[in-house]
Amino acid sequence: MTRASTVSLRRPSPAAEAAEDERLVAAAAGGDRRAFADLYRRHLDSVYARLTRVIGPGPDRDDLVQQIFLDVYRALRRFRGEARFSTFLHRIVLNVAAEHLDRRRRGMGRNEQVEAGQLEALIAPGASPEQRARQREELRRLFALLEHLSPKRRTAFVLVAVECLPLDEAASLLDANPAAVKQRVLEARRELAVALDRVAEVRST
Amino acid sequence: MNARDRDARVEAEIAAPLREASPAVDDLHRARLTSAIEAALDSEDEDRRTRRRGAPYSPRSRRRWQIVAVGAVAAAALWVVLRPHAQRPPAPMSTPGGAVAGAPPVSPPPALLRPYQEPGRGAPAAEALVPSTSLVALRGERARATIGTRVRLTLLGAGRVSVLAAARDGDIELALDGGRLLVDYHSEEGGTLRVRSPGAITTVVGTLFAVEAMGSGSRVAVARGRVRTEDLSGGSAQVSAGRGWTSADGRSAPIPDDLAAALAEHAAGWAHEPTEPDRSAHGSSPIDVAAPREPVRQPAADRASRADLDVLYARAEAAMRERSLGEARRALETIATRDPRGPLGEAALLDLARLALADGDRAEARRVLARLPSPVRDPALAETAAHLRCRARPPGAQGSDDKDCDVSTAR
Repeated sequence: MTRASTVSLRRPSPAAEAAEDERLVAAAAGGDRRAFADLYRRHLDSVYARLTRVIGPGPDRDDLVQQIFLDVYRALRRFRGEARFSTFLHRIVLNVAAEHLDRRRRGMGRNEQVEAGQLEALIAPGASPEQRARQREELRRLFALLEHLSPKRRTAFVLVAVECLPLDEAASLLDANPAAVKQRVLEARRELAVALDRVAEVRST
Repeated sequence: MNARDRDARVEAEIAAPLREASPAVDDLHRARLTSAIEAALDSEDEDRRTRRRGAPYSPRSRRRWQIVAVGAVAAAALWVVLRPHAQRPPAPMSTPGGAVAGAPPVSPPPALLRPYQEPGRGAPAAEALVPSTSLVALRGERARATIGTRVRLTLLGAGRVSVLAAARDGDIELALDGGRLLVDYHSEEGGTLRVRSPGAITTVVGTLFAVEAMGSGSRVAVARGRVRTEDLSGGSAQVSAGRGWTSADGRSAPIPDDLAAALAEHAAGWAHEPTEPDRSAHGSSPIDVAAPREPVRQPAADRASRADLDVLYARAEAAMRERSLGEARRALETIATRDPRGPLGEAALLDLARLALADGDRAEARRVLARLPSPVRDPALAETAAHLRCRARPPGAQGSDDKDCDVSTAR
């Protein structure tokens, strides 16, 4: 194996990624739209994935992704580089997601019906049609369970329990202290356990 | 079951399966997303350029427009006085079922639709060129008109669009009773445009969009910018560039091809006539010059005002995200003042308290929270209100620590 092929297959290090972000942010803040396009293309997948895990696979995700990058574009000139761009970006993602969940809870947003196709997109390829149908129903049930949680607890649960982020990293993204995040996750687990019990009770009757 | 067992169960039955889900974006979806983001950025850049310019047209062009407008109004007045027969009131339009729109009396009309003659068309009836408060297109036909320098619209028949009395100076309010309405609205001079159609109210700040009356409901599609729609139940949604929305199910979807083509054609049709829509003396569009008609529906002012507050709230939220806290506070204060007993007013007060706490100003937070009804009317806000009241207690008071408050409000 040549040295070159080893290097070409390796992902850039986080430091290199951050440096490239920094370069693109500087160019985009100076009005370079192409640099901003490169920037959002680099982060589109991670934004979409996190948004999906936090709010569920509803039909509003595309609009929210658009809203997130528009907010980033507007705020870019005020970004002073005190945190990494990815941290700055994902704070906006979580703010937008929390607002969306809040609106949905207050009944101000649309009542989102998750379609089979949107759930299907979450299933890894290779499963048989029967497995896919089962997984779709399972996902629908899981996201319905998350609806029991308040936006704050839901977001903290997704970051810490599902994405396995360290508490301090989750706290930094949520603009809260780690103890408060830990408490939210604890409460979320407690509520979800109660919800699981209720589901089991209904099934048994 | 102890805490460890409980956590293990939640991990096995919820967290782990969610972790395995892979929310990936395929190439087609990525293309759609990037195109929508690009459209939003284009619109944002255009807004920035407009704000920087300050005014859409040069002073000379503006003066020419003023002369044209004065001439048009004079011609309209002359026509009303000198026409041979008394004007017949038009037959009332059938009211589509479930229409949201309410038409306040329109005397005198707040704005006039100026029919627009497309180049290359035959000679119109003389009265077809007179400014009026409504525009009619028969089935399969097309009529165009402008309102001031801000609105350029195309109506595809069969249908009628009428100008209503707007609630505030500078706003424009239209009612669509049928057909498909394509609108290019420039908001540089301020004010909003509202289109009332069956089952929907569409509020616009500046954009290119379409509203289509479909039986008892409406469909809205946005080519540029962003609009806010509201349905009969008061549910609101934001529709952004490249997306459509229907009042029947409140769902958003990509714009259908036929509507996208109609919007593109509408935009292109005006491209060479940006400021002089009525300079030709001829026209063949079947434009009905009707007297202001009697209101056929009840006003829905409260719903419209709710839509305004929603727009204002969205601005406040954007300002908070961008850390423009002064702007956010002003918008939230306006909402709290205008909707003191509604859910938006309560939510605005909570956000104001949150901002005060973020500044470390507990006294201000307490003052804001004192304005909240106790208990809050919206049960969904009760937990947040309790949490903020706890955090706003004077330093040293029991439970004022952030962590304690989180625990105390957990259940």
